Order: sequence, then structure tokens, then C-alpha cells
Amino acid sequence: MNEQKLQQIIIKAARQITPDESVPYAFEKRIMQGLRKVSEVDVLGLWSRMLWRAAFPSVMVMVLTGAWVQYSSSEQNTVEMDMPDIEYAVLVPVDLSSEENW
Amino acid sequence: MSERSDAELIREVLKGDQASFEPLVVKYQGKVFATARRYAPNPSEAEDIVQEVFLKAFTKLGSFRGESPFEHWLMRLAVRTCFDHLRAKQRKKEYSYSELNEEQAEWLEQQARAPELNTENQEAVKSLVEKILSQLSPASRMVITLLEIEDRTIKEISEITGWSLPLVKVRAFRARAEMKKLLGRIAKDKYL
Repeated sequence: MNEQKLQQIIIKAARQITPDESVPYAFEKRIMQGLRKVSEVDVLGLWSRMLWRAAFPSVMVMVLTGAWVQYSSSEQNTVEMDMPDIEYAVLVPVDLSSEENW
Repeated sequence: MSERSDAELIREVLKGDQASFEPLVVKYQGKVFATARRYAPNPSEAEDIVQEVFLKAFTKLGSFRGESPFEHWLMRLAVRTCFDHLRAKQRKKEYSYSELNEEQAEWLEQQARAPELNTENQEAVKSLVEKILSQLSPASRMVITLLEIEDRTIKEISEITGWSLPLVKVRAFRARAEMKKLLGRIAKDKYL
């Protein structure tokens, strides 16, 4: 028997199989029960999903804030360290002249 | 009390009355079961598919625009769910090539001798058809079922599955080739 004939037989047989529309007893109750479960609000699940969604933005905010604080504090330190030097340089002539006057 | 129409029931469900969904389930569950059984002969698998179809229908009911009858929309959902089920089953590698049993081989030999279809042994025929279809890829099985067995047009298949017309044609071509190859293996078998 060739494939063509075999295919015809199989298709013909498949067409003759009538689809079974029978339904198990009280199946609609099972479906409605399933729907009720779906409709119940899963508070814990919702909360955990929200936490996961918030995780990345929170980390980004933390990193940016950290970087900003680091940058601004290092700038402030530079100014603080430079101040005595400037003060010394500016006031040296004054000090010297006052010593001479004495 | 007069029976409420599908549109009225859908409106009620969308307003929040979940109980109005039950008459829709009762009305269409038989047809959904028939579709599910075409792709899942195992009773528990068919039940799971039907349940999933109605859960999807309930959650997606808001997207039903009412342009076509609810039954068509629901059957499209059923066919697409069956396709997802076939693909999931394939991922689990539940398909494997197996030889025909004695009863199936005997029935085929009888068909080859006498072209008149012998429908006496319905169970053997059913299991033979299922055995062959289950060895096709999900897309091929879907196309062969809709095109050859249910005798639907390319356009109808495109609407049901959501595939474009050229894609349906390509898949139909591939499905026929796959079926031919599979039947070639069976034809070479010692029973035939």
C-alpha cells in the first residue's frame, strides 16, 4: 500500500469519527469553582509582585543617591582642605608686617 | 422566566455578576469538549483543556467585542488553547514513534483489500487515527485536523488560529509532507 492510499484511508476514517460532545457530570460546577478561585484577590501575591517591580527602581535610586552624596562630600573635603592654605598665604604678609611693627 | 441571550449574559458578567457565566458554560461546554477531544483523547487532559478555555474566556471576556457570535469567539479560544496544549506536550517529549498494534494493522489491511470503510471496530479506528496524528508536530496536527478532517477553508483556519493566510498555506504544505513521510514509514512496516 502506498502513502497516498494510506493517507486517504486515515483521513476518511478520521472524518467518520464523530466528535464526542458528552460532558462529565456537574462539570460546570468545577469550572465555576475555578473561576471563584481566580477572582479571589491574592493580596500576598500582589504585594510580592509589587515588591519585585519596585526592586530595580529602588536600587537605582540608592546608587544615584550614594553617588551624589559621595561626589558632593568629596567636593566639600577639597574645599575644607584648601581653606587653611589660602588663609595662610593671604595672611602671611599681614602677620609679617605686624611682627615688624612690634 | 425566558432564557437570556448570550449578549445579555456577557453584559451581566462584565458588570460583575459571575453567576451569569454558568449558563454560558452549560450551553457551550459540549462543543468545547468535542474540540478538546480531537487533540487530547485522554479524558483528564480534555477536562483540563476545557477548564482552561472557560477560565481564559472569563478573564478575556472584556475583549469580546460582539462583532461575531460568542460561540465563534469561544471556539477560536478553544482551538488556540488546544494548540498551546499540543506544544506544551511536545516540549515534554511525550511523542514517540510506535508501531501499530495487531488490531490496527489488521484494520488497515482490511481497508486496503476492501475500500468500503469498516466502522465496526470504532475503537481500533480511533486509536489508529490518534496514533498517527499524535506523531505529527503540533502545527501539522492542527492544520491536518482543521483542513482535512473538519474540511475547513484556508481562510477559516486563518481566522481560527490567528495565523496569516500565507502561513496557513505553508503549514498545510509542510503538514502534508510530514504526514506523507510518516505514512511512508508505516507503509514500509512489516504488517503492510
